[in-house]
Amino acid sequence: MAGGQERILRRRIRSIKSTQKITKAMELIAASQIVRATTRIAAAKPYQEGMARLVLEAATADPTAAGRLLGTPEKTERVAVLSVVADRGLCGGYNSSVLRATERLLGDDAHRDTEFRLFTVGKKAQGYFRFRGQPVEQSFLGLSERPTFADARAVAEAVLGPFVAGEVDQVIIVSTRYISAGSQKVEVRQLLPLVDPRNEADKEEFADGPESRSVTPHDSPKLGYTEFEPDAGILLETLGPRAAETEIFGALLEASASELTARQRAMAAATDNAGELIKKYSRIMNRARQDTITTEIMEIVSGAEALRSGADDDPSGVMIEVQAP
Amino acid sequence: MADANLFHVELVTPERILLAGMASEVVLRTAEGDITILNGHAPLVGSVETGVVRVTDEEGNVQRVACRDGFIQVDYEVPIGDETGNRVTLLVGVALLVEEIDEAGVRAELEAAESALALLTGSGRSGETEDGPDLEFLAAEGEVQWAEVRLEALDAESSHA
Repeated sequence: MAGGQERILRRRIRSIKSTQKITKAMELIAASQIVRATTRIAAAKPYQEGMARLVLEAATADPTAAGRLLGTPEKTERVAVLSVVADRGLCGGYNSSVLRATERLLGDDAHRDTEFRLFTVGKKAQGYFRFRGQPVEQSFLGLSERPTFADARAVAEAVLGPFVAGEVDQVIIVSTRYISAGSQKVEVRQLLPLVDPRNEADKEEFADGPESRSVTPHDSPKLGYTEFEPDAGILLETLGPRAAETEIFGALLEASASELTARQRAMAAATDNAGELIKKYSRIMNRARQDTITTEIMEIVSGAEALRSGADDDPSGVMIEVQAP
Repeated sequence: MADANLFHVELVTPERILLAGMASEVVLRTAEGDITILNGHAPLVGSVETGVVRVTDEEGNVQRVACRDGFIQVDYEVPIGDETGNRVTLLVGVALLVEEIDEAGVRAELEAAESALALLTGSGRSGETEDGPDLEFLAAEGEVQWAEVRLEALDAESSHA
């Protein structure tokens, strides 16, 4: 009856409250981790910038050796794709937007004759592609939230190996760029051959602020002036993969910061939503409770009335004491 | 620049800046041999091989860093902050200040790496195969070398202290 409904509502409110506590906690955890993640992005910047300078310098010194490593590939018949998502869900559209971008890339008409080899970071990608019957060559788990350079190196080894061996013509990475706390963006970009830093400025779609990774004109090398030990060509052979590795590390760091930001936002929304639900259900519950009370009073009063009209000559009048339930 | 013998040096790993400041001398090992860099060195780009890098600061203190897998860039007269100066940038994949090296841990690592290498040597491998370099063997060799370099850094530090 009505009392039963009240109990059901009370139980539901209690369960929403405990869910709200969980989402609130997850929100706070994500928020505290974002700070660390962004600090790590900043800490990795000097190395990335130094790497970009080195590649530029070596490539300028030996353009022939740089041919395959830098710029636009001659053909893209065989392409390796690295898709970076999270191990866990509960972060809004973060995973699905990267995965959808990856799928769009694989299914793109312009790439109809391309042979793709797919590599993934994050448990969510593994499940997604398995469900769709898209073979994944290798997937890396357990590093999305706090990637170390060693993790990046392991990923790089797997993805760059085929390129170094000449088995693929191009390596593309699909990941989320952390632009600022308020803005993250899914990006599909070429990892290898390395994007020529001299053209980077044109490709930069958003202002990165003073920390922009593009190389400043001051750093451009003085031609024919620099010594190389060993020769630029030999140096490039090791430098290329290292630079790509650094790129991957940067991408992993930015992805982890984006993941945490997405999670914080999703959990904040969930907490708010739980608050709304609690408010709504409390109202329904209160009404139900009042209904019950009203009904009970009605019953008692009408019972008393009935008794009184049945025993008019009884002088005492009231036979039942009305007590609040 | 206050002192004509000093230049700016930065030792950077992917995860942090290990050293940054003024130095009077940097000694390191490139693919073609050991080199010393003093102020005014010509622009240079080179590799940093697994080894101990020694950075002497303005007061003559020597900081030893065990390095694995890196690159060096020497720039001549580049802007640093508001002024121009010479700058040495070392980009090193794995680098440890001598204070950070855990001797017992490295000795254990060395033992493990040596036995792994011995196992490979025992099965008749030597770093070269008919199809080119034997990567597994080279990796094992690299591990041994890296452990040795860290111990070398520690030894050098204690003998100078």
